[in-house]
Amino acid sequence: MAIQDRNHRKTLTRCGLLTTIALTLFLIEARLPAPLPIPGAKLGLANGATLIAVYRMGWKWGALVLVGRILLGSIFSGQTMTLLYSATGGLFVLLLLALLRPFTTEKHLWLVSPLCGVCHNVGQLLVALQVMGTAATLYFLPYLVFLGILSGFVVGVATQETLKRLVGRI
Amino acid sequence: MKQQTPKGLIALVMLLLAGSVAGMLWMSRPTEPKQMAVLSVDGTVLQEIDLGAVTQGYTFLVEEVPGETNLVEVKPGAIGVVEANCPDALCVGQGFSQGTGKPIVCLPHRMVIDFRENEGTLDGYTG
Repeated sequence: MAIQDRNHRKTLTRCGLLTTIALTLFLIEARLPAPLPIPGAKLGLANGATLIAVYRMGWKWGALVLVGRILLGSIFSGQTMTLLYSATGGLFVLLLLALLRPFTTEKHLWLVSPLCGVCHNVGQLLVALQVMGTAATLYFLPYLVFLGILSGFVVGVATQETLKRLVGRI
Repeated sequence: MKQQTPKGLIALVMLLLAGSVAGMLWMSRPTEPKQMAVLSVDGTVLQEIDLGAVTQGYTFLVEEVPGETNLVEVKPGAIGVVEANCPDALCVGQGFSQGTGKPIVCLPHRMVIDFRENEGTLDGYTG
């Protein structure tokens, strides 16, 4: 019982740390000028922290890191719309990760992450469609899928390389 | 230990990549410019501007929600956002559009400038 309690506390601490890392990456990214005039396109480095939490501690802990980052992120960036967009994108990513987690390992992050990118961007676009009440935003679908794969790949490789150097430390 | 890379996932990523490239090419194919610019916020149409009828450029401020501003400039045959107080100002980055398919979108302010055919004029296709 005592050991289990200590493990639980350890995991909770790790999740807090990962949320902090995710939030920092998220806020730095939000400060950088957008490189492309495609609404909703971004690198999404913060998702790396979600990936680490999901693959090292299970998708429920990953969900905790994700929800924590999204809530705090939209408070700190002062954007109410950001909350709606990234919460839906995040929900899609979580569903995908819960689905993929059983038959993938940390070595597959380079492949899992691009799919996360696509899921996130498609989720965001669905919100935009709903909020804007016009199909005009659909124009950006192929761009967002393409950029989601590219940025997801970069984030996936970065996360995988980070994990390699963190053996047993998190 | 399962070391094998799931081939289905690779196929899925490749499929999405190919599909999106095809989609981008299709979206950017040359089209007839659509002359009617339709500006809407939150799905409500605020203005319809016939870009073909504009002879002198002008700007107007869109502030449907107090504190959320987009300065729109209309030129003969083109429209674009020149200033916005949203955090990313991607709508400004999207530049001016002549109505060739691509809408101008401001996600934080939920503003869209879309284009449609001007029903008032006859052209070779609708004639």
